[in-house]
Amino acid sequence: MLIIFFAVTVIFRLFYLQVLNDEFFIQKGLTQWLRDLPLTATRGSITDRNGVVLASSYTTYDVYVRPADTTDFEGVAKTLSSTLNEDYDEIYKKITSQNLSEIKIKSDIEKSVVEQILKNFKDGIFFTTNTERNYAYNEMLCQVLGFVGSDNAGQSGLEAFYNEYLKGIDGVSLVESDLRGDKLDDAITYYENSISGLNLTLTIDFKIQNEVEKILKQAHASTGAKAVSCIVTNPKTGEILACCSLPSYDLNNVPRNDYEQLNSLSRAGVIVDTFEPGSTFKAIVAAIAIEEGLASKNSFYYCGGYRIINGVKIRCSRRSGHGSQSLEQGLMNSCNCVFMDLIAKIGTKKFYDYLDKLGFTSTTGIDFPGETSAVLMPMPSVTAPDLARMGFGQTISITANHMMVGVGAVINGGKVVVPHFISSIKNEIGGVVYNREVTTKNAIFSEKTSKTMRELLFSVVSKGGGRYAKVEGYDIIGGKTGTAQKYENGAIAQGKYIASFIGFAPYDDPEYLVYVYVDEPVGAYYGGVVAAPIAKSVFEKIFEFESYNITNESQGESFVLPTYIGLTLTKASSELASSGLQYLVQGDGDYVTGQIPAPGTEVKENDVVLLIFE
Amino acid sequence: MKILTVKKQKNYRFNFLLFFVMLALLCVGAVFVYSASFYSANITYGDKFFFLKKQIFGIIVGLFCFIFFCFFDYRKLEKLKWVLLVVSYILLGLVFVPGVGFSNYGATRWINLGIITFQPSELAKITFIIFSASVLSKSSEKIKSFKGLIPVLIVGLIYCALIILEPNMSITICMALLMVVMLFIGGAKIKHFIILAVPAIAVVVLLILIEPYRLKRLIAFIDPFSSSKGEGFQLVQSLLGIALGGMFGVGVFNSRQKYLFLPFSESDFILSIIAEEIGFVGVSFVIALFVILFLTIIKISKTAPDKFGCLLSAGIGSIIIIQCLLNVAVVTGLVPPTGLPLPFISAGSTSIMVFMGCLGIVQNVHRQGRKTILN
Repeated sequence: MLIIFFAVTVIFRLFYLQVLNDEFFIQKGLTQWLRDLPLTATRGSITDRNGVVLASSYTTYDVYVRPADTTDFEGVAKTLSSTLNEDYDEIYKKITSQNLSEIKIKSDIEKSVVEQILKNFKDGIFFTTNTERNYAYNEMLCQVLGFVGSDNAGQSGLEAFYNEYLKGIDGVSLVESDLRGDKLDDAITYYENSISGLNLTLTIDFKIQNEVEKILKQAHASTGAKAVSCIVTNPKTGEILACCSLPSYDLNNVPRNDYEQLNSLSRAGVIVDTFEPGSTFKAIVAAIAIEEGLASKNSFYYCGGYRIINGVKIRCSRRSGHGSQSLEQGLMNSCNCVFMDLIAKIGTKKFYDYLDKLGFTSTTGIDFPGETSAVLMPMPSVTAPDLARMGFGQTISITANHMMVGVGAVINGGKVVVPHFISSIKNEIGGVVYNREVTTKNAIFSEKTSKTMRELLFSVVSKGGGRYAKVEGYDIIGGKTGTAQKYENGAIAQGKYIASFIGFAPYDDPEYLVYVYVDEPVGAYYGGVVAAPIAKSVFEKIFEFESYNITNESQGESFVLPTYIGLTLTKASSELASSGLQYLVQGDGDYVTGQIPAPGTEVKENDVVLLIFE
Repeated sequence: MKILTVKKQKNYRFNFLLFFVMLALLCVGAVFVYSASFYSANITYGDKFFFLKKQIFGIIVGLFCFIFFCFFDYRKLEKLKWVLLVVSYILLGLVFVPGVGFSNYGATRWINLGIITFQPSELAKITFIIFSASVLSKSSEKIKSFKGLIPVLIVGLIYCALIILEPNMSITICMALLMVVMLFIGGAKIKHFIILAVPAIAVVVLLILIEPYRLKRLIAFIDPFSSSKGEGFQLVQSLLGIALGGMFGVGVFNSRQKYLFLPFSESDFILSIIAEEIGFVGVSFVIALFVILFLTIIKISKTAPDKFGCLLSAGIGSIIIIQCLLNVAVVTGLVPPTGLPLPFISAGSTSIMVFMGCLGIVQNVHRQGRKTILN
């Protein structure tokens, strides 16, 4: 009886295992019965708008010898030494003296070498493949492109943002095999080919990007700044044509060992870091005031060097005051008092509404990971002095990317467009899978306002504080300078500035918007002095590529610049005017203490002289 | 007068059911030993038929053993019991003599006879059955007292001690169970079992503690998937195979688990391969064969001419079914893994020969048995 009971028990157990519960076990079993040979998909490439390859993947091979598979060690060593240009004796020693199942002979050899080895193939030699990511221009666009990890997955930048498109679909080859992984004689193979990743075409223009990189490298050295950045976009479409920040790093040699360093170098600060833009922001304030009918080209203001608002004294950039100022003059001289008046008229509520419509309170929607929105004071706690400071771009912290969108709207006819890096996504054979179209979020300024603003900003470059951005022979650039004080731990950091310039061309129908900002320059720190010349170099190259028509030939003989040191501003300015020279002012002193260019330099009519009062 | 009629009939009585069930099990065994081992045998020995050849050799020798014992009066075994006892003790002792003993898988269980290896513990089981059947048949009254049990216990415990030293836990357990069964069918009292159980459990615990691998196996048994790459590996593999078989199996020779995944697939774990290839239906059929064999033997024991014959055949029937069910329980993960062959089926020529010889003895008991059951 007992025996029958046990027999029934084991039969029940078998029934349970075999019939009731088999799915669970079979799932477990499949993973061991089939050997999985991954067929890695090739990652898609990244090219500029004209097809210049910026990032691509390629396959390299490692050569191994499996001593157990051969007896002809001489033959193996001979084949390998002749094709790999290695010493015969060394290879022979390597493959005969070690008691290893596999011996690596050489890593990262190219396909052509593999083909040579295959011509004289001997048993015992075999290869493994690796996929490598190659960035054709090393540092170029490093923060934007980003890099991939050892698993070939994008870890930062566009590599990360578009990883799903770039990575492709790995194929698989499942082979029935025994415990050791040896294929069975009559094994069934399940084979599924890999699908290559899609290729990205960016809006970046390699030619411009390349020049920007060169110009910034020089500027980074000459200004001694902590960092310099430049973005070039098409303000009508939001296409980003160039984007560069220095210092940078080599994408083919990512400094992975130093996490802090990597983190700071690989940050796309243009998109993810906010700062107080300073006077460049006045362009936006002016546009709001005009749109709201609170100001026009011919409105006049008075600048006594400061305003007292609710008992707080807020100074203008020029301590002695600008006197009577039109809106145009206010922009040209970057007079803070004018904009304190304007923003007071606009009021906090309306101003914040515009910030909202401009997209400053949220993200711009750029196709990039980690975008940040602007850092704004909560509206109820904004006091009148706070608002006044916002009029000239302080007490408000935004990203350079937001700035591009905002100023873009001011000059493009009033539209807030979404900035983007991607132009199209194509498959392996060039078929277009996705085509990026212009996305407009809001139209917030009228074309009329926009036109007025373009003219005003043109004046800033042609005869105001942005004169250093002017490209000789071309009277087509508009723009605004900015010199912002940096804050550290909630207080003004003495001597630390962000000098910036935002400009566009052609001013009557802008196709290029260029933003340059220099973080903590050493020595000169005025945006018009530090950043504008960098923007000028960029425009110069763009005009060259675009073959714009020269609008005015520069004439006149060159002559030797006299000294103005020791003169008052009034005296110096009248002397400069009589020689046909333009000038810019830095500092608040009563007498000229220095001048750039230095006395004795060859100059021509319409050149700009910087007078320093310190 | 009664004995006379029995003797007249004995010469032409042959139990065909017993014989054919045995043959069926042997055939199943040969087929699956080949199926389970051809891949690994080819890799290890370069000969697909390595294990099959050994198995067929075992079956042929076994057939001679079977035929011999069919005609060998089982009562003579009773007279030979002391000789057999001494011989089996000596053989078990010889295992430990260097040069004679043969080690495999970390245990010394075999004697090297040149062509084949011989496992003395297999002989020990049958010797013990003969000895205890003899002792218990003579002293049916003494057995009621504890004293009557002592000779059987002493002989059995010496066997256990020698086998555990090899070490071979599973045969030791088998031997211990056999002791219990023999005493039970010999008529020992229940309370004596309880008295014996206490030291027995203590010894088992001690044995587990001195060999740490046993504890690991025990843990692996409770949750095999927690160590599916280590201790639990074999059990996990066995369960995978069984589950893959499903209701009707993947077909003879089509097992996946034999491709080195399941260790001992041709011996202790052959049932897993059978379950995989012919499914629940097939494996139930195999177990049914064992149950039929057992019931046939029990029926024979009831018609045995004397008490020795009765206890002898019942003992043989018991060891077969104990080993069968213990093996199935191990393979299906019902009890912790121990290395125990499936009678008539697992690869291993000693086991085949001894079991076939045993069935010869049972056949002889049957030949001499009464025509009707007189209980």
